[in-house]
Amino acid sequence: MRQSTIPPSKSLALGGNARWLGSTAPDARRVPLPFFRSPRAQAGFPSPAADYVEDRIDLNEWLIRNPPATFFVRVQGDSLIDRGLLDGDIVAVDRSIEPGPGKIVVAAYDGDIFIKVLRQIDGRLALCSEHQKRAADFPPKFLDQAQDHTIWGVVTGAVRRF
Amino acid sequence: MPCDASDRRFALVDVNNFYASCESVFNPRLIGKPVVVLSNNDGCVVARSPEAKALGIKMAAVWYELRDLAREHGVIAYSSNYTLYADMSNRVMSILADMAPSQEVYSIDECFLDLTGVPALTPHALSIRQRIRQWTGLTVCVGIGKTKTRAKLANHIAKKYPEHAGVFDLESLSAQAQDAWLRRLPVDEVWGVGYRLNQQLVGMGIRTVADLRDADPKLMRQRFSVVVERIVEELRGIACLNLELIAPDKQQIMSSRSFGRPVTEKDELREAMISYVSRAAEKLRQQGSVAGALHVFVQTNPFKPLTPQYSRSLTIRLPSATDDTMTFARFASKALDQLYRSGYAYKKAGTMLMDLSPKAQRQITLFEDPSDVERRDRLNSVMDSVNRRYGSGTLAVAGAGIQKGWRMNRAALSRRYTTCLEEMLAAR
Repeated sequence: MRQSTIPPSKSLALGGNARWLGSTAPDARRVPLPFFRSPRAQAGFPSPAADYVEDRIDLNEWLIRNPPATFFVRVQGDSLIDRGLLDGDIVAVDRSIEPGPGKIVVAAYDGDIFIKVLRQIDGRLALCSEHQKRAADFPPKFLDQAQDHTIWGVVTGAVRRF
Repeated sequence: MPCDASDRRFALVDVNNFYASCESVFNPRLIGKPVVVLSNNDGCVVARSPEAKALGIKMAAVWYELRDLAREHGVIAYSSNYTLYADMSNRVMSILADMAPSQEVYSIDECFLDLTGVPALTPHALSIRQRIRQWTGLTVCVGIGKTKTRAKLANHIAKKYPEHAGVFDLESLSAQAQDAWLRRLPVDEVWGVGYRLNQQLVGMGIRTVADLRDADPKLMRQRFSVVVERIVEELRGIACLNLELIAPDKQQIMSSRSFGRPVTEKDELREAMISYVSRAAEKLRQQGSVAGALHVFVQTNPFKPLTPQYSRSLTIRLPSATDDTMTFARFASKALDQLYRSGYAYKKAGTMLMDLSPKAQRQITLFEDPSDVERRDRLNSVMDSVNRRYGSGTLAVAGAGIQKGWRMNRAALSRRYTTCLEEMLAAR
C-alpha cells in the first residue's frame, strides 16, 4: 500500500452537537492512502460450470414441510425403541397435522411432555410406548384418565448423530 | 389506487398475553396458573397470564413489591426470554401473511391485515384463530373494521367480551348496533388517544368513542392536530391510514441496558460498552445500513439520589460511514476514556448508532483501502452467521469480555426452546 501525508480535512470534523475527541479521530498527520484496484474485474473465458450451480442439500428443507408449525424436540429414553427412536434423537414435530391413531405424537399429559404412539384401545385413545422387552415398564396412558392433556403435534421425521 | 371506502376491510390480529402464553406452550404446567414475565433486570411486570391479571397484578408493577402476594398465591415469574418470543412471533406473522392479501407487522404480537375483497370475513377470521392456535399453541383475537382505527376498536371488543369467541366484525352490525358499541366504549380506547389527549377530550365533554366520531373534524384539527382530525375520519369509516407494508428502516439503533449490579471499574464498563455496540452493529447490518455517527453514554442510578450522581454522553462523527463492529468498538472505547470518572457506581450505559444510510449508497473515502473494507465485511458476516446459529455473543470482539459480571439479572429465564440445540424441548 502506498502512503502519503495529507493535512487534516473538513470531512473529519464533527457535526451537530458532537464534540471533538482528539485521540479518537484517526491520526490526521499521517493517513495511509490505499492503492486502488478493482476487486472484481475479470477477463477471459467465463467458467463453463457457472450455469450449473445449485444449492447444496439442505436437510431442513427435506425434514420440515411446514416451517412455522414445525418444532424440534429431543427424545428422552427408549420407550419408542421398536419404532426406531433412540434416546437423544431429535424429532421434527409438525403441529399442523391432525393427530390420529397410529401416529407418533408429542403430547402434554398431566403437565409432562411425552413422545408416544397414539392408539385406540377398546375405543379409548391412549399414549403408548413401543418397547416389547420392557412393555411392563411403559403402560398405556389413557387420555380420559388425565387431569389435563393436549396433543402437541405429530412427529414427521427424526435425525440422529453418532 | 382509490377504492370505495365502504369496501375496505382491515383486521387487527393480536396474540393474547403473548409473552406469558409463549412460556406455557412449552411448559404445560403453567396452564391455569398465575404467570408473570418480568422486564430486563427482573424489575417490573411486562406480561401477565389471565390468572395473574385476576389477582390484580398490574402491568409495570414492581416485582420486588409483589413478593408477598406472589408467595401467597404461587405466582410464577419468568425473566423475559426475547429469543423465544421473537421466534414465536415470526411463526405467527408468517402464518398470518399467508392468510391475507397484505400484512403490516405492527409489533411483536400484533399485525394489521388488509382483507379487502375477502368473502365471508367472520368465518375467515375464525379460521385464522383456529390455525394459529393449532400451529403455534397461541391464541389470537381478530377485530375487523373499515379502517385501521375501527379494526383496532373491534379487536378490543373481541378481546374484552368473551361472548364473541375472539372475533369481532364491527361492519357486520347494523348502524344502530355499531352506534351502541361506540357509545359504550370510553374515548381512551381509541387508537392514538393517549393519557393527555384523553384528559383534554373529556374536558371538552368528549367521553365516548361515539362522541369523538361525532366531533367536528375541522375543530379537532384546530384544537389539536391533523392526527386527531384523521382519527375522527377513521372512526367515521373513511380510511386515512394504509398498511405500511415495508417496515421503515430505523433511523437510529440503540443498544443499552441497566446493569445487574452497580459497575465501578472502567474495564468492566468498557466490556459492556463494546458488547452493546457489537449488538447494535449486528442490527445495523441486518437492515443493510451504515452509520455515520456514534453516541455513547454512561449514568449512575438516578433512583438512588443519596449516592454521587454522574451522567454524561458523547457523540462522535465517524471518519466515514461504516457497519464494522471493530471500528465501532474502537471508537466506543476511546469515547469511554473521555466519559469515565472514577468514584461513581454506574447503573447504565449504552450506545446509539446514528446518521444511518443504506449501505448500497455508501462511499468509500479516499482514506480507506477497499480490500480492507472487503475483508472486514467478510469478518462481520461470519460473525453474524455464527451468532445467529449458536446464540448471540458466541463470536465477539475480545473487548466485550468473557465473564460479563455486569450483565443484567435474568434469574428465571426459561429455555430457548426453538433457537438453541442444547435447550430444545425434551419428551419422554
